[in-house]
Amino acid sequence: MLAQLGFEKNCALTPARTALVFEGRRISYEQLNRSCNRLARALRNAGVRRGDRVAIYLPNSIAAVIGIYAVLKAGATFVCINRSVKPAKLCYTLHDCGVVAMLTDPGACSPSTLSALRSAAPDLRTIVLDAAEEDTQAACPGALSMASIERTVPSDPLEPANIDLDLACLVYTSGSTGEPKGVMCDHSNVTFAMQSIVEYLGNTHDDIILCVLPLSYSYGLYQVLMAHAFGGTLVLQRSFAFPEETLRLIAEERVTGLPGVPPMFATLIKMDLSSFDLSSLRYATNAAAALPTPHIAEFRRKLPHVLFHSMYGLTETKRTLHLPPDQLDARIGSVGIAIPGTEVWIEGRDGRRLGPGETGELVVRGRHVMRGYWNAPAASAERFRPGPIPGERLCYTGDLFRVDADGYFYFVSRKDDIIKTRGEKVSPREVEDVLHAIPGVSQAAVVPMDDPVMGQVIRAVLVADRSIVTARAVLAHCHARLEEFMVPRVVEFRDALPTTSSGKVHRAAIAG
Amino acid sequence: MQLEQLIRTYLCENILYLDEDSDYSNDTSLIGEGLIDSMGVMDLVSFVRIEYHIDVDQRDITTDNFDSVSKIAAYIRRKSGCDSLLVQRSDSSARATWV
Repeated sequence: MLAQLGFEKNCALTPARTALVFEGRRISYEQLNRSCNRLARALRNAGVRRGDRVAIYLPNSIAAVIGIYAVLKAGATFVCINRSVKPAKLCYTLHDCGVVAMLTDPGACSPSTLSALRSAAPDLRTIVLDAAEEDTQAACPGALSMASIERTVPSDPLEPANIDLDLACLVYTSGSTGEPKGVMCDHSNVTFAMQSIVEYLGNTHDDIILCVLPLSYSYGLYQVLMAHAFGGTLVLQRSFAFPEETLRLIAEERVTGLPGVPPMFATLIKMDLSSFDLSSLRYATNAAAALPTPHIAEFRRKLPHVLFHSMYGLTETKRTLHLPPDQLDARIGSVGIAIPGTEVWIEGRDGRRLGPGETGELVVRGRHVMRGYWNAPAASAERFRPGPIPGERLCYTGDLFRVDADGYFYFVSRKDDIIKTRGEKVSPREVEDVLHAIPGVSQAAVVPMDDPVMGQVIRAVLVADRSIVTARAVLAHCHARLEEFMVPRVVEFRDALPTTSSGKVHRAAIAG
Repeated sequence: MQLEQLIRTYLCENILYLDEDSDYSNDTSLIGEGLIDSMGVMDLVSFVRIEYHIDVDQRDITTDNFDSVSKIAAYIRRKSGCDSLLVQRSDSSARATWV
């Protein structure tokens, strides 16, 4: 089944139901579908074809949601890119996946950025701006305006162009090799993952989901796709920057589902929640990194009527494990069992399946195992390996787990150096590459540092010529090139860095 | 220096780390345009608390008060009871930095 079909089915069944709420605007399924059809037609008219990659470089917004479905309806593959990504990484991503079209806003269209994008992505022929015609032409002459498309392009449905083995989206994720990789998600992967998650969360069309997570992040993206697949309402917010507003929105919109990441819950449990009517909340989910057990306990103390789901996953399988809320007290620290319709186990270095009490790498089997990394066969072969049935893929997660006698899994550690901060994965290599580009820096190591709210933050340790390198200059350099969560919170200078016997920088020794 | 300019200078030097002031307007949505994220908001709240001795209530940390230079300036003026365009920082010394 195609990823957009659930949404389209609900557009036909309940056209008047509210599909999306954003900054006070309420959009029905029918309105949303018509806007998506218009943009899909505009993309096709501009030459976008089946399988082409289309970037969506927007903050959480109505336009971003329209963009996702429009690209799918046009038969293409969408690539959501966090709007806080800086031009150099944007260029890298657009080049890597060879985009032919991009949906963005006038703020992203400075002459220098446009020029860099055009040379990085020579196939980028079409730019669509979430703006009125006048503003569009002022920012990017020749671009298409979403406002004009909404006014002038017919909204009748398009014939589907795909089968479910075609790619629905690429989701870029950090890897230990440094450069982000695009996880190829075909329609059947996406649809299966959605159905499995909806099953264990028990979602129905009465659910109202609040999403403050960026849609560039699969956890955020699936909130959109799932809410519309089960016929519910999605309440979208730009971010969790203003927690009071989020709580007010939960109360006003009678939100039933709250997906979050550890820093959100760490913030919420410190707030006085008593002045908000949160009685509508049915469940909350945590993913991206483990929420400390005391935080779960405090959240449940403050909101005892809310079912709390601890979950674990990685972009390569979307979601992998979930802990049923009724097991929270009995399985402290566990992230649960395989999501419905899938199988997981742990393996030792020798490929042997391990039993209770042993620690090994978590291996995942199921239709949610994605198709590999775009344009990265070696990395794909490492992560996605043949399964027991010819043609099948298993995902080797790179995370070490143990399992108890009843089959519940417990995260132990990562096999690689990836740092989890603010719910995001950061490759130390990616940050170190940026640091090494600073004139005067001879060595750089990036290690995590514990933080009570963020989980971990980034610490940069440098060997540098102090006569020309200052901490402020390092931060300025990083800020111009990295997303906020990747920018070091601490910069430290040393005379030398410890090395391993093979001469590599010894990150573990630096991290202490 | 105008309050708005002081806020811009702070943003420029401590959050955006730019060598010179950027071309965003005082009404630009800092979150919407991706200039700052939730960490940046926390940083701006600390700036207002420390530099202007304003006890920022949790309930005041909203889009209406913190999502643009103009809104932050209006908030500071309202809370400090000062209508003047010229609001001096409480302390001219450099802000303690964590690096």
